[in-house]
Amino acid sequence: MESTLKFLIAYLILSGFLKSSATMLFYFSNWSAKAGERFIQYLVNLGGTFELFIVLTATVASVTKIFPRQISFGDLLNIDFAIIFNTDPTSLTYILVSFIVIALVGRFSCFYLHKDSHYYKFFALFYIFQSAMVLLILSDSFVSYFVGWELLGISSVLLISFYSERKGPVHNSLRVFTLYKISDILLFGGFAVAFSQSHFQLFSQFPQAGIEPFSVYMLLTSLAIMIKMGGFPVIWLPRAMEGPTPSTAVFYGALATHIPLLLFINLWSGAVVLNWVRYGLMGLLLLIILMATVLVRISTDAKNMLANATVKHIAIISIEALLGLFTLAYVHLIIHCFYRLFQFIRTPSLIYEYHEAEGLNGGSFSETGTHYNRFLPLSFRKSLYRLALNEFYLMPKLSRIIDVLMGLTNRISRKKIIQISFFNGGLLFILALLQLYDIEQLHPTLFLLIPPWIFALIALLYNFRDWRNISVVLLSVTSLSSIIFYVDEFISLLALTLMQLTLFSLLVAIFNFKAPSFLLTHSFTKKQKVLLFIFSLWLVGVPGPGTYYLFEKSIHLSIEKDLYLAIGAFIILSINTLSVVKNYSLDEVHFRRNNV
Amino acid sequence: MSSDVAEALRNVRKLLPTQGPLEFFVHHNTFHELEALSFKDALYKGELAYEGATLKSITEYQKCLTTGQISEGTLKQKINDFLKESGTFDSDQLEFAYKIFLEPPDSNFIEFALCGELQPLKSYTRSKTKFFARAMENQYRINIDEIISPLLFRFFSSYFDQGVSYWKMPQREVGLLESFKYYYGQSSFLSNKWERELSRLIKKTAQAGPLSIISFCLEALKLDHECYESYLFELCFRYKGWGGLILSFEKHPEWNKKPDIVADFESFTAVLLLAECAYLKSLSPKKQFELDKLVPLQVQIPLFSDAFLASANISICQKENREKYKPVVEILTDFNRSFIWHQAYEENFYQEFLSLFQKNLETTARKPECPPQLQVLCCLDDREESFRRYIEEQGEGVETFGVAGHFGLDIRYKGIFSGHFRSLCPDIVKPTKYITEELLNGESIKRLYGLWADFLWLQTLGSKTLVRGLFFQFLTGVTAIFSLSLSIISPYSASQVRKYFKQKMDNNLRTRLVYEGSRDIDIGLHEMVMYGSNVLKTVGLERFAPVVVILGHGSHSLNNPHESAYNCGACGGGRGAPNARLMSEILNRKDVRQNLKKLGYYIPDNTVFVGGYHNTCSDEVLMFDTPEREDVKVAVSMIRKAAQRDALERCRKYEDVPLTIDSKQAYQHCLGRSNDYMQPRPEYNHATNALCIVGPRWMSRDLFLDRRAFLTSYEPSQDNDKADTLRAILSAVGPVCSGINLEYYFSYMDNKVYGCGSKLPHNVTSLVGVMNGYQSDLLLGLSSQMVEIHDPYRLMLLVVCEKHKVEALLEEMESLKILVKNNWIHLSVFDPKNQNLYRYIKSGLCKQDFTDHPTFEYPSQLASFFGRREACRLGIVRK
Repeated sequence: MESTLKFLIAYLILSGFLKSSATMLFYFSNWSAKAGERFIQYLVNLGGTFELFIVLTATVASVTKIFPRQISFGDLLNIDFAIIFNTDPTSLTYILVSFIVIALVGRFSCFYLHKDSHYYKFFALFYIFQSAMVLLILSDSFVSYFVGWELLGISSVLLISFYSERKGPVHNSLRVFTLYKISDILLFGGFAVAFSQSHFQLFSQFPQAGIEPFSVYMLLTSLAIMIKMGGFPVIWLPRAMEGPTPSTAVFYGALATHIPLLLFINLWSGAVVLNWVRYGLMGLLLLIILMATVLVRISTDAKNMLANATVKHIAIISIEALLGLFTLAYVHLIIHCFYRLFQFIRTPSLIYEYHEAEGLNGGSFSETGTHYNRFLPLSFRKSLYRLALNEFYLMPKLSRIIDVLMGLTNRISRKKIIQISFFNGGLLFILALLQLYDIEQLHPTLFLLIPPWIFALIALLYNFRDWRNISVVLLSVTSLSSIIFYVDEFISLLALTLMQLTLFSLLVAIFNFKAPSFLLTHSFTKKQKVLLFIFSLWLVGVPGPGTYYLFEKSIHLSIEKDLYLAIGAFIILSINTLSVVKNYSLDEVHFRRNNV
Repeated sequence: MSSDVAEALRNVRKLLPTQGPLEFFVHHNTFHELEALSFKDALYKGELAYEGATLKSITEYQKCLTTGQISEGTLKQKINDFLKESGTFDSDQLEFAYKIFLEPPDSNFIEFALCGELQPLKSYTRSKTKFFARAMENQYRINIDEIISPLLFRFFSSYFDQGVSYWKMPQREVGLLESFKYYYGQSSFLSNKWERELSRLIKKTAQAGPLSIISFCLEALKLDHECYESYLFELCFRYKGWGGLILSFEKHPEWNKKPDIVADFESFTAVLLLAECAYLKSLSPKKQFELDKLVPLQVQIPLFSDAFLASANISICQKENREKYKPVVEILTDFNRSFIWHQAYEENFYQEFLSLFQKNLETTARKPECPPQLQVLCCLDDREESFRRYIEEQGEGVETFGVAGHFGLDIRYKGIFSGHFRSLCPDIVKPTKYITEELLNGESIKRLYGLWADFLWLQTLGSKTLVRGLFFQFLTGVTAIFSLSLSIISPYSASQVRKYFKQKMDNNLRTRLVYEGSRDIDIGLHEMVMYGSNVLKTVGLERFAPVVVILGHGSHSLNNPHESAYNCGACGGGRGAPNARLMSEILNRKDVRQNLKKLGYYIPDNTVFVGGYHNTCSDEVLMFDTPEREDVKVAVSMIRKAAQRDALERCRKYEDVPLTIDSKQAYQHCLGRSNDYMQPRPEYNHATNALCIVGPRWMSRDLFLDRRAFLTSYEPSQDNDKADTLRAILSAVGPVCSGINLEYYFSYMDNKVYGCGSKLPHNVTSLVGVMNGYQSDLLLGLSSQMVEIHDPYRLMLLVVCEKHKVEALLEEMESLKILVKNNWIHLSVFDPKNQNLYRYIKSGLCKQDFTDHPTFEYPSQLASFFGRREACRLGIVRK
């Protein structure tokens, strides 16, 4: 039985990747759009039905206790990490829910996106998302969960910037991506803390842990999940409403915001935590509910209204989990997921539905919200409205900060970029010095991060094109991996860093001075750019060598040496991922503008 | 000072595009404000003012040459005409002009544009005055709109909200400007610099009205008086969506359903100006100083593309006498070349049509002799063209007529299931008659519907509030997934299920129209007679069949914010069913018939008029108040059969439908399509419209016009000497059809600028319009899914009437004269007396003859389109 189950789970995880790769192959081949569409229709309809069948069988089998509750893949992949999947009825029910949603939205999109210029892009990302869902729901081990987490982030962000020829979607996607990256860092931080304290690699091991480190871990993980669900640090979910209607429906209405919450409920169902974490989170969630409910009430368009409502109700479900009503939370999550999906899919019908209800009623409905007039004075209502109209001044402020950090609204001059990078490097240097002083032992901990940090910042802030961007990211990655590999040999590390610095200055010199004309005039085609993007993303992101090293080495490292080094290294990788995505998505916008 | 501003504003108002709420979508010429210019000049001017393409790119036209949509002969003819107009050229030069037309612009040798004989042409430019936004973009790479528009869009959509939000903006009755002042007059510690500057500016102008604020800001920006107009236009055009809505509200106050919203264009401009001024003032003094020096900025737009210059340069180098060919290139600017290509493109099509028309008259078309068996009055809409062909196909005695779809009834109507009165007549007419639908029985069902409405309403509210939201989730969350699954897996069965339940409910409902009796809604007898005789006169109905069906039309689709753009244009974007029902009821009245007899219309007693409704999206046909008669049943089944075949013809254009289906499958598909959440193209609407025939139907009855033609029935022999009937027809048909045609034209040519782009990311805002994704301006025009198969031909209006009458009418009717004289539509006249064809060229009707042109013939209707996706050749259908 176990081998059958293993096969089924492996199939579910891999089918998404396979379908996505098949879609990509179609994109790169020279087949006609018509043939491609027909192929994808088969993929969606037949594949979707087949998967649903498998999932249904697995769920039934799991409920009838034929299957074991957990299976392990660790021995298969030959890595140090335990790869363990839950196959209990709850998890499989959620798999069933997400596959129903995915099958429905897949079929919906086949027709809805018919003849769209980004047809393949949608399905490639959509199926990566499917695999991410399976990983997120089934994983009991950190590594596989984290891979799913990152894949979810990247696929949903690239779908926000689906219409990459317009500026608005691209900018909003980068704003969301920055928040996602913060949540990745928090999650990684949580794992690293937990791992460094108790060597645990599985979620199910945690109830046995001591309270103190566990609380930090719970706090960090919960915050990461709250970012992913759209309500933290401020309500950013409306800004993700840029893609085509089905992608908004499946991502922000249904799965991408709901499934991370599953971990939240799971965690809290087995938790013994310091009370301040629980009450602190509850207070935060109440604040989110309060803000969201005001924002829903003043929203004037279909999608923003639903986005705010989604945040509000997900926060309610989280509170249910915090209060210990786990069964309610599990059920509520599924119901809310379906309910919002349905509503999001029908958003373009808003005018029609409104008039239909009005017509059946035989006249207009009475004005809404007037009962508040009785006990709230006008001046208070107006002030509240003003606050809400400005989104409590919070999200605009945050998005401005992100814009400046990412260099979106304002082009930062070259000089300033160098200044910022070296200033940051200097700060890190001082920090490292302080740490040296503190610990009183000579170990090149934070010093190591200085060169990759500087490279990463330059790559992020400077709007390099194509190769230049990649070369900087490459530099940063190599220096990062050098930390991981050469950590014991300080001198060799120094030599490597020096070598990289020379390489970097050489590269800058080549691209800033007049290079041979074939280099300058050579521009990549769209397909080459996609390839390049996938390659560099694989290099720095998850699942790629960058993160693999991190997990393999730096978590080990964090036990022996320094927790902050691992987290710092991860932050640098995140910045690199940001700059890869930023350069890819902005490329088209800028390219178009230059042409006009 | 303020008079300058007022004057400037008045001109800005004239140039800005307008569009009402989507519910009242009315097709109109996108370049309506430039109609006083000739078409070519308007394109040239509009291209600069609106910054969008007005013609296809030359490579696209060149592709048409290979597909046969443009023939080389017509192209040469057009080049010839153009060169002759602009000077004297010898044959060598003409030959040279042909050559550079056919050669594709060469972008591989762009360096050649910079040298050689033609180098000076590179500096031929037209300049446009631009202001701060462009200066900021050029100088600092900062887009002002990215910074100020989020605040403005959020404010406008909140202010103009027609009922989406649960809490409306408090106290918005004080006006747009005052509300803006209130909500942005204070800043928080989290606000950025420009928002603080904005609140400072607002405090400074707290007491001022819109005009004085505009003057104040213009003064503060240190602009010259001459620049006011162009600056204000630039500013308002950047926010054209909301500006257009406000202008339309000013024009049609009844479209604004919330009385506390004050739409005022001056306040709108003042708000925009306050925001922009505040942003500019918040810049550092150094930047401000630099900007002041830069603005107004002259942007130079080259007249010749580099690629063209390069290839022309290469061609000219091969010639011996180079100086001779330079003037040829000099007048062939990018715009002129595109325009010549476009003329050739259109001409080819017009010739195809006109030759067909003439040939048909010479050979097959005969006036029907046999007594009529069934007569159907339809809207003149181009979508009914194929439908009518299939009705006529079913018998010699079956006749159809085309007339504007409101059937001359200027009414406001409220059905039992509609919330408000809605006018069902052309946009320009102010209706005075209020018609209601009255329930005869089934009060309990109505009450049940009322409960259902309350449920729906609570559900929409449920997503906005906390407790109700929770309640509805648990109530409908799981059932939602079943209904969603069904509509996604099979929209057709979902629609059948819905229909089944609806029929169960509706079966016992009997209603009637109330149009007389009470004082407010009374249509008097003489008015009824007038309405009736008008319709009969317009279409030239003299002999009556036992059954006369009057069909209004509309369209039903799901997930389609632009739904009313698919409805009947003559009904102002509404569904024409009540008009058809009312008209047939009027014509069935004994007293009306008696009075009509006095006017010369003898309606036999056994003739019955039946009102109906044709859904152009699903091809369903509904009938109202049908009498229990055998011939009526036969007639209805004939019409339904025609609708099924019509569905088949429509389906060939949908790429997701196989070409091999039969008419029954096609009908089922269309039915599903109209009830499909996942269908951004429920139907193609007016796409590919290009023709309009005003004349007796028998002249065009055998023609396969591929759903391109508006067909208006008109009997020239029955008209009086002054052609009063024709005048009435043309005064409606000319502007309406050209409005539809030109809106499609421009939305096709530059969908990003004149249209609203792809439908997929659209987000319905404030119940008035759509925006892109999270936040953007309101989007005007048609979506790319609506126009993707369109062929941008201008309308060819063919009138069948004596030449002198048309000439007299042209002199008389100002609106038509402008359209024809300025080439917004092409006019041709067929004189039934001497069987000659005339075309309006330059300033008068010239005789032309196309009888020797080759024409296409099809053995049957089915053969004309079957198995083809792309546009078909027009042809004669031989039986």
